[in-house]
Amino acid sequence: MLRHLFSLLLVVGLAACAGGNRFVLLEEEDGSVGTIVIANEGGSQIVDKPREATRVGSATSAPSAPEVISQAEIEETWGATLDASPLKPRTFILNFVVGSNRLTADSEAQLPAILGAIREYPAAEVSVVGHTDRVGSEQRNARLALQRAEAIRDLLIAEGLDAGLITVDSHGENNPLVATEDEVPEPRNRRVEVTVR
Amino acid sequence: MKSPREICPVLRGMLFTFGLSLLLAAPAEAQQEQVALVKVVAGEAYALRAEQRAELGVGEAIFAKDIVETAEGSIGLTFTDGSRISIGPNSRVQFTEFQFAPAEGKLSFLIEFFRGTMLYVSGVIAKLSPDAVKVKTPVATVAVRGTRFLAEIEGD
Repeated sequence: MLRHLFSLLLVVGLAACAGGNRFVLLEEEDGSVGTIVIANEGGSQIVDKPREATRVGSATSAPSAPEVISQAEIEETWGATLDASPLKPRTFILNFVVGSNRLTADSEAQLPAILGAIREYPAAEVSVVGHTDRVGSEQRNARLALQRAEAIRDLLIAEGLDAGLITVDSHGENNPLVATEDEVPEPRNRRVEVTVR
Repeated sequence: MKSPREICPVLRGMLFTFGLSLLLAAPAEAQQEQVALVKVVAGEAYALRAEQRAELGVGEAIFAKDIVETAEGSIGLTFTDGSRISIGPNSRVQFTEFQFAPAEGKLSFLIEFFRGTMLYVSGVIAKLSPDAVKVKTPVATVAVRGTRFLAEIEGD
């Protein structure tokens, strides 16, 4: 009798192990693969290959060595979660004619695509963020980037975009496309990024 | 001792002042910035904030410190930096800290994931400052290096 009870507990225990606490790295939508580091009092584990999973029994037991799990296993546990994932935001990069507030012809040609993208997103929002290179002071660049972003916001509103959907921000020189030393001119970093999300 | 009739204007004045202070206090509350917007809901999902529990629909705002939870449903959120988080059934997550102001050098995103299933996809905060993003769970903390990952937590 006691033995039956023991085997029952074992079965129940094993069933619980099938779920448990797991962390699974996935490929990003662009195919690149990042890294997650799972850490607790028992130790830490780096996971850096797609579909690799680590299990964690408790806050004091070290995360297990990573093992690749199947797509079917992922679907079984995270199917509903993956289905609820919002659309990937889409970013349009707009550049200016050097020394002016006018968009380059290529950038201007993107405006209709921005307006089109908005229709694809449920509860769409648009962020318009200005960026500069690192020539000049940080404060001046923050201001300059904001002015550029505001110019683009006005342009989008003129093109028919609902003003209520837009937020304007400036990242100044702190979010470059191309990293440079301070005071280095870099035209690619002078831009406005319009993200539809 | 004043007669009741004399007290009335005083009381009214106090009431007015009290009301006014409530009105003045309100903008501080309203100014709390939205950190995410609900983009996907299947079934029912709820936000717990200021000791209230409110059902969430597509287009509704999520604020820092909000707890979002599900029973049978699932929900997907997009944050202002482009990060995305979705949770499946029987899940509970809190967005304890969210700061996205690169021009001021302020970046942080602390997620406390208590139970259920979650998908995290990184946004600009993780790109600019990988150390700024942490996902805390009852059994371990996840540090994120620009990525997309799943978590499952049994919880209690």
